[in-house]
Amino acid sequence: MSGIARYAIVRLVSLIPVLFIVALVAFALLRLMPGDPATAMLPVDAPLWQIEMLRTQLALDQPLPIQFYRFITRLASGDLGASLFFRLPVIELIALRFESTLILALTSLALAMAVGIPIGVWAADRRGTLLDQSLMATSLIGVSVPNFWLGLMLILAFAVERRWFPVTGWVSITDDPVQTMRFLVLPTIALGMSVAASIARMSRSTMLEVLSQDYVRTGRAKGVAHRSLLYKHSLRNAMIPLMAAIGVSFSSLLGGAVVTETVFNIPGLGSMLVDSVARRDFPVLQALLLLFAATNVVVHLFVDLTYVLFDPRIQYG
Amino acid sequence: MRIRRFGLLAILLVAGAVTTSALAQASPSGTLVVALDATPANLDQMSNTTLEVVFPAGHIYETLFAFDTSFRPQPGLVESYEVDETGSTWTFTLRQGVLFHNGDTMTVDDVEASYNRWRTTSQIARQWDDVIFERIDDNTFRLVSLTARGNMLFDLAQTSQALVISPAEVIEGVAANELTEYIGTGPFMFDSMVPDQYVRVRAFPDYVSRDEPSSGRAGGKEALVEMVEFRIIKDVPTRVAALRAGEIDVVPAGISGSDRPTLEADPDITVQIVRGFQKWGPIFNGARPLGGNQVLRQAVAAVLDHEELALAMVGDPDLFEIHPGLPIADSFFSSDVAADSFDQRDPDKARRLLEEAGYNGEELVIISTKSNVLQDKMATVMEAQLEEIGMNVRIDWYDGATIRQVRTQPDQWDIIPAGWGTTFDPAIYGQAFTCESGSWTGHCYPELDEIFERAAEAFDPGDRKEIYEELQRAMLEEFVPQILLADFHALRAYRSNLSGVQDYKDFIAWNVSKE
Repeated sequence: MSGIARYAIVRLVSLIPVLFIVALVAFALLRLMPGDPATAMLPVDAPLWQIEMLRTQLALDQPLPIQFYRFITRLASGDLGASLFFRLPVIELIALRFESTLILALTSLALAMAVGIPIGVWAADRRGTLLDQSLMATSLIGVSVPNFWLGLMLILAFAVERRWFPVTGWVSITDDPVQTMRFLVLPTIALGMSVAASIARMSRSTMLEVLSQDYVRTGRAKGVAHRSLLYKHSLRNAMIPLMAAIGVSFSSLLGGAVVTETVFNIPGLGSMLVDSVARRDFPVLQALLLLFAATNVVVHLFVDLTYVLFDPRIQYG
Repeated sequence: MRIRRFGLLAILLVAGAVTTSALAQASPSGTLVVALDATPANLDQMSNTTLEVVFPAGHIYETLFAFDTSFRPQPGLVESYEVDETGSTWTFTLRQGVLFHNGDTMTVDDVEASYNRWRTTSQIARQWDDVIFERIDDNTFRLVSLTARGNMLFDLAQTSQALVISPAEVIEGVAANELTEYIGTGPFMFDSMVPDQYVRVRAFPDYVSRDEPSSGRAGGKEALVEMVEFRIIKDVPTRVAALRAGEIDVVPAGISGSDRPTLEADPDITVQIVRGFQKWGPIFNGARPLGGNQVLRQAVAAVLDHEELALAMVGDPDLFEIHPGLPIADSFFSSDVAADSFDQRDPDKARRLLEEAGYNGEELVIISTKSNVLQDKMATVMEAQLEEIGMNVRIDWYDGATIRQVRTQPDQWDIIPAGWGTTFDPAIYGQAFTCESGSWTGHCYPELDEIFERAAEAFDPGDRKEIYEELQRAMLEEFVPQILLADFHALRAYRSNLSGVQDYKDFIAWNVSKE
């Protein structure tokens, strides 16, 4: 087994205690949270007898240690339980929403990288010039503009006034990939632009640091072509801290695209998290927190593994 | 020549047959997309009161009686009924040949099974403890109670936690909110539901309609569209944008007043005002020293400026109507009785009453939430108005789920902003302000209970109206468990290529066609 494979397996195995701790903390924190699933589900004027009846139905009247024992034994057998609100298996509900979140996160990140990295490199290369200042000013605006506002403006311009794209909804990529792309365009722009702006700013600063290194000056003195020096020698070295930041962005896109999902009415994991908090749907929340924790570990493992591509000196195992 | 004539005749016959067939089958077509602002957990209309359940489920299920546009109960699944002179024995004959969506014919057995389940799931049915169901034959049954039941037909026509009729084998032994098979007798049948995305119902081809003209939920019903999709869109600007873009056809409610000018300026969109959609006002906690002090409650009622409050809550003077009636304005039981004790705006009187109540600057706790704009604004403006007469007010803010739990804890609050759906029969206030209701509001006054009981027994609508006027006087002048500020209307908007959209409180898709 190669060193890199052994490294990946060890990291993946380390997921088990991480998930156990997350499960424990999630269970405890959710029970400490004020609010009760039964009162959240019933109408605001529901009589007390109905609330008590529902609590019994949902087994919320059981002592907490018993609830935790049931949760953890089910989890050990791969059963995430059933939603208190929908009375459906949590895994089914997550499966319904995972696709849209994953695709939206991937396309937004791809757009952000495609726009952000070149801008950062150009700005660093022309440090102090008008181009640098205008690119950084634009990226500052990009970071500052709220997602929901940009989303609504895009909807007004390209879905209401010009009906080029749909306002709301989602079509599974397995049903109609072309339609999926149509549904993706506006939310990808709304979500990707702020990430692009922050990647641009980070690319510029890491590139500036690399460009001030001795080996770059030496290369320049030896007559290495500017383009080669910029992209082949400097950018590759700047990519390592950049990849770490991109990994963090991707993790947050997977669970945090709440506003964009709400504005474009996309059934994703972010809006599911918010809805489940409002409903105090503990099993769904526990499952989502576990999923986000696992995703974080896997994404960061993937990021670590990509370092080899940029710096051959890095070895695992 | 003969061949030609024969050919022409054949063509005419075929054409005639095709035309006749087309007319006979004038089948529903197209999909009507209706926005819902919240997700239904299920479509169990017997167990739920929320609009996101009632709107779609109300197309699948039917009740024995149904409200018309004047909120008078009219026969629904019942063909005829008789009541004895005491008002305690009601005999109902069902319509014959009514089919469920599974193809079975509705019988009294299904009604009895539905009735038995309803008794365990509905708040209204808690007041039916003395009622006995008697099966007479396949099409006839009797409801017998110990006392007269003047509100019998009103109860049977309710759409919230409604006595909807389902096949016995589908609902027997199913607990509240655990229904998974949605089979009714309505003009639309359940098609599919994806959590947090949509509920779809499609036209039921074998629906047996009543012959009377359609009015509200009563009368003739015809599915003119093949499919109705209730699409869940929680964000208000997104709902409005989707309507303007033609992606959805109807936003039945939940449009803010600030969107009204944009929608009214759009020639492709029609905007309706659905009057009396809700009633809102602060409820006092009768179990706390301040909320339980009747004179202090009267002081609060004396100072509140209803117009200022209502305007702050909805931001559009066309979207509310201030009147003292317990039911919505212009409905049958509406009355101006005790108008002097309503919307008084009299700080001097309020201060006098506070002194009389022995108020010494104790902290009055209002609980509210920012997740509901009406509750948010009501609490904020009320705080300012109460501070004007020297009250020491604190607002405790919670998220939507927490406030629902906190309101069940009597030691946590004195006032909560609360609302009711379209209120046309004041009997509904019995759910919160009687001793027997197991109420969370902590109010218990034998005098009010006695009035509610008399109203329930009064068979003649005129007599009931007089009793409700007595109730209104008692609630406004004396007990003041809640101060109902105004009727709040809803904005409904739909694409102008639709016809047949009613301005009824519930959105109704039958008899609606789409060009």
